[in-house]
Amino acid sequence: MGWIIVLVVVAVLVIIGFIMIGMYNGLVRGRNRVREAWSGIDVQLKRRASLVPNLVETVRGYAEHERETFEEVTRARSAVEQAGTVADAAQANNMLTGALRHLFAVAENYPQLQAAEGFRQLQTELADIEEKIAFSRQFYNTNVLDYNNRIQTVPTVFIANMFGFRAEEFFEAEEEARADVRVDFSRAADAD
Amino acid sequence: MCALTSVAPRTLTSGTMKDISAPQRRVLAYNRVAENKRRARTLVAAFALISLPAAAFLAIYLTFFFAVLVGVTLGVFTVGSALGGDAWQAWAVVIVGLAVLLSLLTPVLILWRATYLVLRLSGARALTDDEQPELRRTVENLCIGSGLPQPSLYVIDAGAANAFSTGLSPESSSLVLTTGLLELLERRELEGVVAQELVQIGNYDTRVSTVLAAGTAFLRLPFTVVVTVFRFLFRVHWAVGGFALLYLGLPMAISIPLGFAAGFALLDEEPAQGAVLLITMSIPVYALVVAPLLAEVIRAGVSRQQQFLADADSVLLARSAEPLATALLKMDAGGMTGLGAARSTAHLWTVDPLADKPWWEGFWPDCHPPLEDRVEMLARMGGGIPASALEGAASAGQTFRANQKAGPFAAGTSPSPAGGTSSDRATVPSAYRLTAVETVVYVAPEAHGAELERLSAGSLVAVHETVGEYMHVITPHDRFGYIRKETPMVPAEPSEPTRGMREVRDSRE
Repeated sequence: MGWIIVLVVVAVLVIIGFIMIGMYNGLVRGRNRVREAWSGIDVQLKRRASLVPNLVETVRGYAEHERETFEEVTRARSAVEQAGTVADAAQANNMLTGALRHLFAVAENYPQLQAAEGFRQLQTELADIEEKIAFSRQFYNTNVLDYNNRIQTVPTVFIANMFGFRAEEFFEAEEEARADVRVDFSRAADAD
Repeated sequence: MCALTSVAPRTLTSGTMKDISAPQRRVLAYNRVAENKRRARTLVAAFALISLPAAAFLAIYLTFFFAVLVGVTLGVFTVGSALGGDAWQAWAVVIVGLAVLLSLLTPVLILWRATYLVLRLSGARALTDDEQPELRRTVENLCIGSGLPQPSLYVIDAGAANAFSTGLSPESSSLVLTTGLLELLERRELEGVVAQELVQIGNYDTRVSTVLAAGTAFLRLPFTVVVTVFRFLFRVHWAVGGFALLYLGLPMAISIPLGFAAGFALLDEEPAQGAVLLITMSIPVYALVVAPLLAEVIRAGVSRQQQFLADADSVLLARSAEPLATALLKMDAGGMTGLGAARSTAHLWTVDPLADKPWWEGFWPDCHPPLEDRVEMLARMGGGIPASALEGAASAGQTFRANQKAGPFAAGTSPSPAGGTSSDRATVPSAYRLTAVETVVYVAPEAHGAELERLSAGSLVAVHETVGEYMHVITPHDRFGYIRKETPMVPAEPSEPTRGMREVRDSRE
């Protein structure tokens, strides 16, 4: 009789052990997924920052008096490059977005600059990168949400506490780049 | 097909809508991956099982063939002695083994050739690097947003607006869009459609659909071959087709029931011969009727919910529901002219590609949920869509369709002619019949220039583009020339010049 009880207890312990291993592996996978998603954002942030000096030089050629705007952009750029944490990076990125928007608004006053081929190229490229940042942010935040949910809910919360899995930060941004746009059909109807 | 072309879309506000329960909660794409992988495996097994009888027949045939071959080589000239009177157990083992082997070949064939087969059936071509930069950017961005590898991009040169994806895994998937879709949709709508496809790639819906398409095509093969042969004969001339039907089809159709009757009658006296006759007669019935029907039954059971769930998931990726809803309406209203989608791939497409179905296919369940339900669900996820937007989308699609019908060369192949004026003639319709008694065709677009030729009333010309006061045309003698812009002429019926092309597309199944 006794050995049956021992066997059952051992079996239960083994099963619990396997479940715990599964949960632990799931958490590691989740954390890795978050890190990979973060590197996706990081690539785009670096790409954008690397375009900034070029942009500033181009604009300076036509509008040299806008010193304040240039400084604002350059400051934001170095903030992006020095950002250590997710929150810092998000804040610096928002700063750079604002500064660039300001720069492009200023550029509107210089028709020659608007007509320059190099400037137009930079403008479309930056717009594209901004969109890519928005999408990679979306992917990152989806993964963070999933991961955080898992390490804060029963039963995985016990494993998370035991092995020191910590909640990851969301990448917050001003929600306007992806705001819904009313599609205009009048143009399509007029076209024919 | 949805009846939106005749009925004006309803106002979709939260008050008037039916209850749709499934897509309200947040669904993450990878939640359904395991389930879909399991479904794909089950499907492959099912198709292998269904193909077993045909494989058995093929095995018997092959064994018989090799027996004769062996007999001839060894100098034994009668089949009976080749099969060897007493060794029939050995032959039975060979036949059964071969049958099992052949039906095991089915899944290998399906899994190995599925993607190729589906792409081939649709007539898609790979997108070159410098084509459609905006589409590329859209796909790239949405892939970043969903963490998926980039699919290979294909286009189908057709006026109809539709899309699908195929492939057995996200790493090896392909996204196929028609040129009509790229023309008809605005950027945000294109984003919605691409997101819908990417979501299906990501959660392995695409694997299930691809296996389903390849399996269905495989099981429909004998039926398709027979139909194509007769269709071809009828196209050569109705008399040829009629003759073939009378002297080939009719005897076959009569001999099968007669064969069954004879087989049953023989069963009492000569059980072995009767059984052989019955089996022989049931094989064509099985291959031509039962197997394709079984494939359709499987498909009707699997694919209806997929599009619904994909719509819902894609809203989370594209971050808005309205563009996809209007895109669906536009695509549906735009019609499926010139798409020539094979029946076996119908469930893959974003909207039902079998637009003008014959009446008898109306009894069969659609592989897409009704369009109105999809739009309604999207409207609810996106917090309602104004009726004006929906009507605008439907009418944009209808206009697009009308333009396609007007011009035989318009379907995605030639852009509308460059011309400053907005006259009807400068836009798409491009085949015209001349109405003046005589029309002068010039070599160059200038007054009093050299004449190329003179055309009589009723000649057909293809208008290429407008150049100043002249139109660049192709004459019935395949020569390029210019006629005056005010030349009297009427649009030609679209059927004539495109007929050959359309028929080639139709015969693909």
